[in-house]
Amino acid sequence: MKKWLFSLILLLATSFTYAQNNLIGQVVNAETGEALQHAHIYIKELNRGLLSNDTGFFFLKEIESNKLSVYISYVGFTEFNQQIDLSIGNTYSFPLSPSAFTSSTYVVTATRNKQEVSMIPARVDVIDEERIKSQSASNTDNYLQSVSGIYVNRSGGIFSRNASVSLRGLSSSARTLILLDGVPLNHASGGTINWHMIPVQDIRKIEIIKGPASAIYGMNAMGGVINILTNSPESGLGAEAEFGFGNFNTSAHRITVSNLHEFNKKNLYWSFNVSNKKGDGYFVTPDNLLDWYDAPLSIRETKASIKVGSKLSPSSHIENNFFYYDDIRFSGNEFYEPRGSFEKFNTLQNSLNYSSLFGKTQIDVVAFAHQENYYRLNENINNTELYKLSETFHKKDDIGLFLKVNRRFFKNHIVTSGIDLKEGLYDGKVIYRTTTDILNYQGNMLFAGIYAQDEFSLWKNKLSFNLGLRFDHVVFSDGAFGVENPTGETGFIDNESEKYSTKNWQSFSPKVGFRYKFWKSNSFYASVSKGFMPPKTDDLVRSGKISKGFKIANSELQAETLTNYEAGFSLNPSKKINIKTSFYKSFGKNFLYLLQTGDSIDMGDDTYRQIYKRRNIAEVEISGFEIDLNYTFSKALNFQANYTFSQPIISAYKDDEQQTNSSLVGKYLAETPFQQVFSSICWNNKIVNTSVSYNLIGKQFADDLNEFELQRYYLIDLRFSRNFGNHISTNLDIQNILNQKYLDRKGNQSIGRFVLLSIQYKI
Amino acid sequence: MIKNLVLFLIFSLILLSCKRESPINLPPHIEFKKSPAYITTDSTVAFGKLLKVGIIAEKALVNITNILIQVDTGVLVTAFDTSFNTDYFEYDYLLRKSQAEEEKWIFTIRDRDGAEQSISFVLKKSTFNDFSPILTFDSIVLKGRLNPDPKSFLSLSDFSTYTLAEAYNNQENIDIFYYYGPENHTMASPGANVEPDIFTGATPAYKFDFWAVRNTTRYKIFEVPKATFDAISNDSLLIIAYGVEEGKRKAKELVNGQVYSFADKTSRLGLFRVIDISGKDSGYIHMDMKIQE
Repeated sequence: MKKWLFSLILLLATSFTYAQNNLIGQVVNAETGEALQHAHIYIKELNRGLLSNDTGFFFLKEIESNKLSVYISYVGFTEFNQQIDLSIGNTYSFPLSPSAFTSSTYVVTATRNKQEVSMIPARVDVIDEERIKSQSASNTDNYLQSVSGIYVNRSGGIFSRNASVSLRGLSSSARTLILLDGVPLNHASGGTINWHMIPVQDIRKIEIIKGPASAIYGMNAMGGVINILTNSPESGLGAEAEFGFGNFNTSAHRITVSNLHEFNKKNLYWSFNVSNKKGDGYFVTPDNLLDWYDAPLSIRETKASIKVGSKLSPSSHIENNFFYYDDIRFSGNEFYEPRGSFEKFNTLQNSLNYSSLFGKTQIDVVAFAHQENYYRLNENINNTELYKLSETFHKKDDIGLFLKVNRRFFKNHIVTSGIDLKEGLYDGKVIYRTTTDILNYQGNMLFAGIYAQDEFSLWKNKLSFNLGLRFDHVVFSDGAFGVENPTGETGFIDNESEKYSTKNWQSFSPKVGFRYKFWKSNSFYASVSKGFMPPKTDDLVRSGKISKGFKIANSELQAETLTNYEAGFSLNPSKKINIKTSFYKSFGKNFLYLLQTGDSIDMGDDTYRQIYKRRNIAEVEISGFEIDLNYTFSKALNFQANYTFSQPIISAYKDDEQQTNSSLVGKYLAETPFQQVFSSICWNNKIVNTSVSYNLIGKQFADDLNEFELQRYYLIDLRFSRNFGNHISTNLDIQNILNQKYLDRKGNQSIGRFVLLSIQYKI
Repeated sequence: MIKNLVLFLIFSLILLSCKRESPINLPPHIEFKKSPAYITTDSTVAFGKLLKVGIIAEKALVNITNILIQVDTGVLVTAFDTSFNTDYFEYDYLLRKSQAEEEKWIFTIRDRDGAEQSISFVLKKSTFNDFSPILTFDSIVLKGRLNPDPKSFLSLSDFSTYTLAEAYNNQENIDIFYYYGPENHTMASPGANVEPDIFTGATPAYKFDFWAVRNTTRYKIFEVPKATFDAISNDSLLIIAYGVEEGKRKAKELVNGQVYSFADKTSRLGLFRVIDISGKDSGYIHMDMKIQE
């Protein structure tokens, strides 16, 4: 008896010993065989998660079961989910295939880390390379017209002075953070950007995060963030030339030369791009009102960019980008000056991006410097036929340093923290050439922000969370305004010289959000977030004429804040259909709004102008809804449509004397369409790739009292493109094919139909 | 990495330190027209005397953009200021000798780069006065545009009143326009910045924008007792009331008893006193007027 018992015990012991398996696994790229570092691995039977190491390996010891269910996920790759049998062997290679949707499915902007869109508890839209190729666009903001929740105001097409891009009912580009490869373009002094300086042909992808992102980006990110990502060289020495011709005697030329040199798992690359564009323009005055002094808007633009970068090691990268932009844009009238009134921008920007992985810690550094010189020559004849001529000089210098650190903790937490520092100098002067008036104004804004964010997921990434908090401190200093030798032209009676006291504002901007994948790739998200924006330097220091009247400075402005509640779905009823919806309600406090004071000023000789002043409105409520549908009939045929509803209302208002003013309560914010519709269909075929898009802009008010309603309008654009061999490709863009004309808020006529044929040659 | 960052910041600071250079200016040229019809030098002149000054100006390097006429009677005031953009400018200016013992008239031309040149002369008051006779009107009535008899326009040539349509057909004779608008009862002229809303309804075709001749009359408020106003028998008080500084193109917020001095397109001076003013767009103004012959 003891013998069989001993044998049983030995057998059991042997079995037990035999059941103590080890697993040696390596996660690799199925296509290239390259090891995938820090892949997520989950073993169901052990209820255990771990990460692959720097060489893709992972190790598990003393495993009791032979059969294991292994689940592996990695950013940019399809998931691996299979059973393995350790009785066959204990060394496995786990090949993961690159995802078919790599470009669109992953963004860097939403959380300042590369993250899968399906994990982000926010409304994220991506304009990927395919959409960029198929959509007609002569400026970067043209691409944004296809995104729900975004309103692009550019009535003059390429001849517009600038575009105004606003998100979710928040009028003014200043409330949307615009990044170019992670570098902010919004000026510290005013928040606006010059859309023309962005090299449209160089754009690889545009990531849009809707809703306040101040928890990680700080100011300007109240409505959201738009990050424009540019191309980097992907192969050896290459060159590309492009020639474009269009109506209004428009021509555009571009040359790009680039090179990528790879060696010892490192690389060095550079690209050089120079382009110019010019056109004779069109008349903004409606035909029946043309007068002798009306002249067409015309433009001359030159851009150049140099990119130099290097992959210093498998885990570190450095890149420097330099941009140069110069233009002259004529304003549509010509009295006595040769060519009439015009504006000039001259911009230089240099930025350095460095990122590196030190162990498990990723460090990213962005440093940038941006200088913009603006000049305007303005001539006009007023209602009493008195001729006026003035010159405006602005200089805006911005410099900044962003430092970000992120690291994984506790298997599935990505903790990110960082410090942002930015300073903006603003220096302006207006010289009146038909009188002796001279205005001077200046100011300095310093921004410092510190933030922290935790992204983590549960239940095999079915439930993901994002918790963020940022503290911003803004200091306004060296503010000054002066008037010399006034004659009444500027509305001033005597010389004035005012120095403004230093002001500062602080804000805590939290964000909490989650996304739950309730079935396969179908998910629901909800978030609460707060946005923050301090006053602009221009509003704090500058008094003077504006297009609609006379603006007086307000040095007592407070920062505005916005609290946003939103929820939405992302649904994939089939592999071909994707539907996204978002509902949001935002509550703004101390909203900055340009309002009439009720007074008018005698500008000399009985010419009266309404006086405006930027003020803090007590409360604003914005209700909104967006729905996007994407239907992929086949690889060659795709349909996209979206609808936007947005209703921003002034819900409470108090004037400077703290008197409740009911006349503005219930009014809609100006220059925000209530409804927008966009749809497009793209068909790629062997003969000619074709895309058609339709864009409807609904009713909006032009003024704060809602007395002037702007007409709604629609635009239909076409793009035809075709490649001839490996070197030549052509695009024919017809924007506004039905030649719809409408009047913008300034009473200017829109451009109508614009046609551009471009030919590219690539070697 | 730090070295790269430092080099980058140095490079950026160099970019940011560029400054503009200032251009060199030569002043424009200005001179008086020399002819017996014009005054060009220091003179002794009677109080009230109307004089003509002729100015010729030419650019040096860049176009001239502004002419400024000032008079210094111990206090420097601007008598005339207008702007343009041209290489050559010629202008005749009418001035009237004030009651100051001595006044210096300064004529400054300025170009678009701010370079300027001035010429001047001094007028001394003679012991004689040069007053002119005046015309007196005890009852001039102008009516609002919605009045059943909408005669809103006045000619200072024949002192007839006109409706809008009649005035449109007699543009060269129209000097004064009365209306009720955003600044209540207002006296203006076709050359003033009159609100377009005034011409809505059946009359937009006759808006001042479509007039070929738009005479301008300028106004200044003047406080004078009724008895003094009634006793005016020559233009001495009319000259004092208007002064040298240019008036406004509108007399606004008119009320009973107010007195305004005015100068028409030929610098002919006058005074009007509001006797009665009533209503709004269909109202009227009833005034007395004293005006140089």
